[in-house]
Amino acid sequence: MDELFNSVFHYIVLSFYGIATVTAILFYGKYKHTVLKYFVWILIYNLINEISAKYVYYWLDRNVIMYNVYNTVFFSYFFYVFWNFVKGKTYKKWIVYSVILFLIATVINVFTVNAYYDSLMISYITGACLIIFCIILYYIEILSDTRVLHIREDLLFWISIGLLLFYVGYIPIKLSREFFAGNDDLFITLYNVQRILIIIMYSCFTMGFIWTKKK
Amino acid sequence: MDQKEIAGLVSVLILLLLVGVIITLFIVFVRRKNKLVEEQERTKKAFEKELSETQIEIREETLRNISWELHDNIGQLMTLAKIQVQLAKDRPETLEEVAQTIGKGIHELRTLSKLINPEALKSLNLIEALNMEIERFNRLEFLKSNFLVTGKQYDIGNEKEIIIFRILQEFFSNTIKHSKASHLNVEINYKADKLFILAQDNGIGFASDADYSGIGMKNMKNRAKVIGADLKITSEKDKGTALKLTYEPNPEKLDDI
Repeated sequence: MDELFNSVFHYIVLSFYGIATVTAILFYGKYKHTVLKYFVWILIYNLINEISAKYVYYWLDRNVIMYNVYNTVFFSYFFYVFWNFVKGKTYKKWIVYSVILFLIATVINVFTVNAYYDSLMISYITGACLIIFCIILYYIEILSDTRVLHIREDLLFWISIGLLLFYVGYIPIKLSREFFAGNDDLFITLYNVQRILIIIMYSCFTMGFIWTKKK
Repeated sequence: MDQKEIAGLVSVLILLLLVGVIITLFIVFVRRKNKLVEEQERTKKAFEKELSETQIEIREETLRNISWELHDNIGQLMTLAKIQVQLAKDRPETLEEVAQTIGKGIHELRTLSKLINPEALKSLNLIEALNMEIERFNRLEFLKSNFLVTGKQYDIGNEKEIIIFRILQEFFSNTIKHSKASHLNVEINYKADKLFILAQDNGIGFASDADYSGIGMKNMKNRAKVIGADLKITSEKDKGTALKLTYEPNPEKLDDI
């Protein structure tokens, strides 16, 4: 029963990845003039990564390295996006510092653990916290902008909500898994919460692609 | 479920709840901000629209005044000169009088051409424009007019002065056209924190607002509202009409001249 539920849940999550990717491709025309045009490639990459991860796991018994690479690419891309969207010079500078900090954390992490066998924990937590920081900077800038902004029609706003909800929820899950349990399978409920968070995040992305209006 | 797992779950839920609250607050703030910005833009647009209409009206009024002045003042002098010349055929010694009349006509013509020079009109401030208007009433003997400025003058912004001038011009034109008044009194008092303008005539006045609504009262009130001034028009039957305008300039924009 658990096995079946687990497998069904896995396909549900995969389908949300798929839906987000398909809507991203369908509505590509609405945001292709912004740096978010690369996001569709990240989504395709994610989909391929997720589908193949399972087979790689059967094949090599290890797939952590795939996620390590994916996460590093994902974070770097979003630093670039927020750096591009934020207008304030001070804020831009802080994002540059964030990137430097993230790179340092990643390099240290690569040297301290074997990226092939273990998840890059320090790099991931640092990246997630710094992305949250960038989102906050982006929100502050929206609030202090003197123009009328229709955030419902803003793709990055939806993406940032998805990212914010996911990372705020997922950081404690990742930490508690790291510190309290050696094995992911032990915390099955938390694992399901993580999947729900992923569904929320990708739903936000999908909504964003649908709602956004070409500027 | 493991106790540690429950702890993890609870912390995740609390954090998600917090983020939910933050996002909701954020959306509420953005909405409110948008509303404020839209309101400001609306006010600004209303002001600009009113300003451009006012400028057009002032221009039209100026043209009307010129035509009036040409007809009533210079035209009359020329007619007089013509009659005098015709009479001078028999009595050549009166030619001196003719020359005087023509001289007066030329003088009036010069004054007029100076007045309607667009450059001069553009650079006029409220006081100068009102002064010209009052002088014109006196010169053309429409009314006996007085103009008094008290307090230390300051600049309230050209656009706002234009609108105030137009309000007063409207009042004057009502006085001349409808009130049958013989005197007009205008006072401007520059107080430190506000500008106070009083204009009153001694005409027939009107009993109720209804009588006055047809002659631009609504327009005047509307304009006063656009610049944030307080306008009161009071009238007593057979005693006259008074306009009181109070404007509080924005303290940051105050500039001494």
